[in-house]
Amino acid sequence: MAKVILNHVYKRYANQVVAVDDFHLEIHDQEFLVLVGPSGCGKSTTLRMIAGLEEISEGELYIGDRLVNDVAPKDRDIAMVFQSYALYPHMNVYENMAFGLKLRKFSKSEIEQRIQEAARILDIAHLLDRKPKALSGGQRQRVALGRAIVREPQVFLMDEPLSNLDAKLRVQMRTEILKLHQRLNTTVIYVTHDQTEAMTMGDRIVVMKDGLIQQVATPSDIYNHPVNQFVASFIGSPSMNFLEGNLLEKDGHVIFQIDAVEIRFPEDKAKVLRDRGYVNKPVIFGIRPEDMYSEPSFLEANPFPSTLVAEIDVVENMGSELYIYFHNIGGTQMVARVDARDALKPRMSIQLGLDLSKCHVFDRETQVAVF
Amino acid sequence: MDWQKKADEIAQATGLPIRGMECSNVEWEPLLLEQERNGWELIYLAQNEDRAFLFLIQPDYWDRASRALLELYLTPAATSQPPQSIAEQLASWFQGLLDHPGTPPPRSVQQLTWREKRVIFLVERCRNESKWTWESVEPLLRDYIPDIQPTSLIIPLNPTHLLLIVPLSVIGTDGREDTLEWAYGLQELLACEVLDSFRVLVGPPFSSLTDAGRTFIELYHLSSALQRFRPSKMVAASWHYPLERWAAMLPDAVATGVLQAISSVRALPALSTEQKEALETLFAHQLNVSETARQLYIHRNTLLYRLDKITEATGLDPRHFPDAVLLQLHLLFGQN
Repeated sequence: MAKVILNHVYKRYANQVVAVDDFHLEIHDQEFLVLVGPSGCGKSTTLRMIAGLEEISEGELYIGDRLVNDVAPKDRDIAMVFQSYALYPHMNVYENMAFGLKLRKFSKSEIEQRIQEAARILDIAHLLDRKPKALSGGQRQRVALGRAIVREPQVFLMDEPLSNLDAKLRVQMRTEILKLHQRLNTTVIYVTHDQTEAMTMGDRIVVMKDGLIQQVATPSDIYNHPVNQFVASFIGSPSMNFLEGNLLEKDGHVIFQIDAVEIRFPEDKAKVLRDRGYVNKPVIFGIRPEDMYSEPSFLEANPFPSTLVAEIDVVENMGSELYIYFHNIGGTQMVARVDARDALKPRMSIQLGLDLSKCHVFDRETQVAVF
Repeated sequence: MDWQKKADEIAQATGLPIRGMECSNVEWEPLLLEQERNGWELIYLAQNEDRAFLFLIQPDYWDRASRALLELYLTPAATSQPPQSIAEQLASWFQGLLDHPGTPPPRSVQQLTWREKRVIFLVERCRNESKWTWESVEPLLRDYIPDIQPTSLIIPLNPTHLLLIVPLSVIGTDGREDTLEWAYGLQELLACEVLDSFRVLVGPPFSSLTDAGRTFIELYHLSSALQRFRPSKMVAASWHYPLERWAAMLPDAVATGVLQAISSVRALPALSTEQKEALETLFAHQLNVSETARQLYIHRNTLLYRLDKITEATGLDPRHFPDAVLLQLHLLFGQN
């Protein structure tokens, strides 16, 4: 168990491409930290630098109190779990887990004790005699995890470990890994491009783009208080809706205007916008699909001007809720998540109330969040 | 061995012109050229790790019998150096095959006949900056492969590549699935225990050295193709990626010409990662939609919807063979 410190770390390639740009973060002891971002954002490169699979171009990396920039990967006391869950085909499950320990000259009793403990945690004790061929995908993934667990490393590094599993198994293994983390109390650094995995697993999430950290925060902070438009759009499914328009002062209220639509901000948000000089400026207005309501009770409590009239293009029935897609506001594709009891169909018009206590405004030039 | 002293002794005993010249290992070839221009002939070359010693004679003064005696005299000195191991001899031969594909195996290893078939794995390290050597990895491989000696061979070819030749009985059957499973296991072993980035390629079972040589060349070309077109593929077999292998062997000018020809047939828009993944999986499964959907863990109808979207965007239907070929070529050349 150990903290990991990345002190202004850079990764530059020979062609001057900067894959990781000034990554500066302390990962706490026993923390489950998730690195998330689109392909090419630098998350895997960061993980590989921690593992020692990529050299650090500049900056310092500490595991525990030890500076490990020049320490060989195998001497960093880490265990890596990869995307593939390949096992050693000629060895049974027990031998698969014991192999690494035998290499490190552990005693037979110590090997036995660690394997039994890992097998109990992973619920694979009944599989120890089986060869990999006789295991299902999920069982193989557990054995692959078991191989890492028995080494009792200071830090687990996981590089999209669930991406090769089918959707159902992925959800199941997500829970298993979380339970495992709670039992082992070990530092875990987990890379994924799947924002649902990031949101459900991380104590903290690091959102990356173009080699730069965009935001480091707890899942709820990332979701509710994204620092910029990229984070707001990347986290959340369906994604946040964005409208480009202008802020005006009208009859003592701050209004967001796009085409003929006017949205009046509540006074606390209006004050922030005035104080920061955004009135009479172009901005980006953001609202999540679940913060738009079709229920009459909400609409009654929030009369005009915090409503939109959507002309429905497509309705997706998710069972418990409906996703309605429309593009009649400024020509922008938008989606709202509404109650499935509403009988909605394409080409219908529907009034949607906006919960403006949860809306967002971003600077049009910098895409940085005002709130 | 004091080679200069030996040359002096020969000159004194025979009274014939013989010259001993010492230089570094990188200098002996130009030095020999210069001496040959002056009428000297190389009768024997002695080398160690960094030095070379040339025995040169004036051929006109040395009759056939004297030359034979001289060669006989120098040969024991040569064989007093430790003989090359089978792995070293095979390494030289395999390396040589890349320039001269038809070269037969050296006589010293031709007697290496195997009663059962073998499987060859080409292991490639993907990170040049890592500091370990193959020597440090060999014990790990010896621990991993059951019954490693004397039936299996670990052959470091150069700092980047290592060959592993194991009997088929170690792997199980000669089914492609089993050999591929072994390749995945090896890759995992190296990735987890050496903690570095490796590519492992495997060929079909063979029973003669000549076939081993042929398979090695195929794997080597596959490795170049993957580096260029599929850098993230870390495990593959010689029967995979035929199109990529073909494309990798084209000269740059020809590849550019192919891309231009494809673009002139139809200009295609950029495809999303999801669309590319759907297409590549479809191509890998011979346009079998159900199997592709299974591989992608999506419903068949979802895949059909995605393929329809691709058709809408490109005007090419990936389920239709000629269109699929055009799309595949476009993906291959367009993105590289």
